[in-house]
Amino acid sequence: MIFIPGQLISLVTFPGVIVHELAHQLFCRLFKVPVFEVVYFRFGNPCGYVIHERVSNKWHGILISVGPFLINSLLAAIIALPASLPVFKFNTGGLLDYLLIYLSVSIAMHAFPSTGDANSIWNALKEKNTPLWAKVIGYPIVGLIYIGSFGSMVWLDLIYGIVIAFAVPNLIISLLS
Amino acid sequence: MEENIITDVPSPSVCSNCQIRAIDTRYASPLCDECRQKFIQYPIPNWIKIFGAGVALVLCFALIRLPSQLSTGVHLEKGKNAIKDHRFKTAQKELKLALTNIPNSQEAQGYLMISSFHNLDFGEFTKMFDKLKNQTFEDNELLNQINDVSEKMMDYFPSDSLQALVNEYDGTFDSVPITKLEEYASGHPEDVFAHYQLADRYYYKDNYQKADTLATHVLQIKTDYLPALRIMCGIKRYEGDAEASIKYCNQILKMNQENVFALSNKARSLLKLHKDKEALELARTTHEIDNYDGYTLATLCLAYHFNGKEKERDELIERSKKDSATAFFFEYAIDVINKKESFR
Repeated sequence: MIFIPGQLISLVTFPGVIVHELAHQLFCRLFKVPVFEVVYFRFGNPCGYVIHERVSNKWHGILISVGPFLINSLLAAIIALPASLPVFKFNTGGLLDYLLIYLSVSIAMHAFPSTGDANSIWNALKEKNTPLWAKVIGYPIVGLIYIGSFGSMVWLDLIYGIVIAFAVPNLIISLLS
Repeated sequence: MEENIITDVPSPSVCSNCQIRAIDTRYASPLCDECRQKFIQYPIPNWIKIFGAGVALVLCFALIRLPSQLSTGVHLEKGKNAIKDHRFKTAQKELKLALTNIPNSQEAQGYLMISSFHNLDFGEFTKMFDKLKNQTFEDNELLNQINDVSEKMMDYFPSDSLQALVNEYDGTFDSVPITKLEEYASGHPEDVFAHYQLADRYYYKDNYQKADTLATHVLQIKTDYLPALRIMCGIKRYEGDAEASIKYCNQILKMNQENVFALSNKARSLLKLHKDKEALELARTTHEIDNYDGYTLATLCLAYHFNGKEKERDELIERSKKDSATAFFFEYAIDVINKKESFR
């Protein structure tokens, strides 16, 4: 197993960090939650963060936390779409294609919400007035986020990034043919 | 390592940001409505917008090529799927379309080589072989399939000793006396190509019994030797055993569902068995697969004739007169129609 410091990985894949924080911010804006500070990227731990108001609506709170998973995954798939076929299938990829694959994998790698995001959900769910449905949905999400976080030690985030970049275009081809 | 952090602050009566207006008590943060709106619209810095615009620009540029790439990918997949289904005519058509956009794709070239072998398209096979030779393959499954057809292809060309015999004459098999070919074949009992050539010579001399014996011998050595199976379809039909002819056609169709020769031959054998409607249906299906092949068109013409569709039959005959490539195949059909040739 190759150990590469997380900060170095974040530096190399900085577009993913930016999109991740932007996704948090956009979901806050969507649910009209005030945002007090956004750090899109820095060389430190955490390498990016968004400080926002405590959200009373549990559904909104969950979505703000998992927003990057949706936005990063979707954006990574769209970016990979025109580049994946020439690079992975036809072996005709040019510089532009490899640039897009790098962007796609970087963005998809940071799709997983962080343990900080999981803690936000966890704390919101612990509040007294939390409805049962929010707990039913929220706690497994917290569990999945922690699994994803531990998985990054065995390059799960990179594997996810490659799968998004490779699998989605191939899935489309399979459906069309 | 990225986070969203939630803040809890004690709630005074005036807005913690502007220190002027009264706070909106419905929310956790002590903010007035105006400041709240300001923080909701927390500005996205210009460098982020420029970064996003850069990504969007690169993406737009790449998306322009997406339709042609998707179509290429679809043709390639369709070709590969057709090979899995033993529909080699479709496979060859789809793979050739894929190769127009990705001429150097090893995968497309490899699968085209495989399908061209099954379609007995030696020109395409050789073209692909020349492109692929000396290349290294990562896809072992594809390489095994290529090696398999390449090995089989050896039986479709004369051995050096047979070629030497042919060269003693004017270089064509037709110029070699049949006795010399027989002599060679008996001395080389394992040479399927020589035995097939001899069977073919007897077939065109209407000596079906000898052709049958020789082709049967070939099939005992190589059960899937396509030229021998093809000739057996014709031999059995001319010998009056249409059922046996259909059996050989089906054997070919098991290997290649879209072998138009076997499909047309089967249609002719069905006509012999007076199964005219079935024959017409099959001839039409074959025509859909290949609407240019002369033998297919002539078979469809015969099927129209025996189904009483004179208009369609005559249209095909007229069409054949304009095309020298198909005219040859129509000679027999026209003789059958004019009762010069006894078909059944």
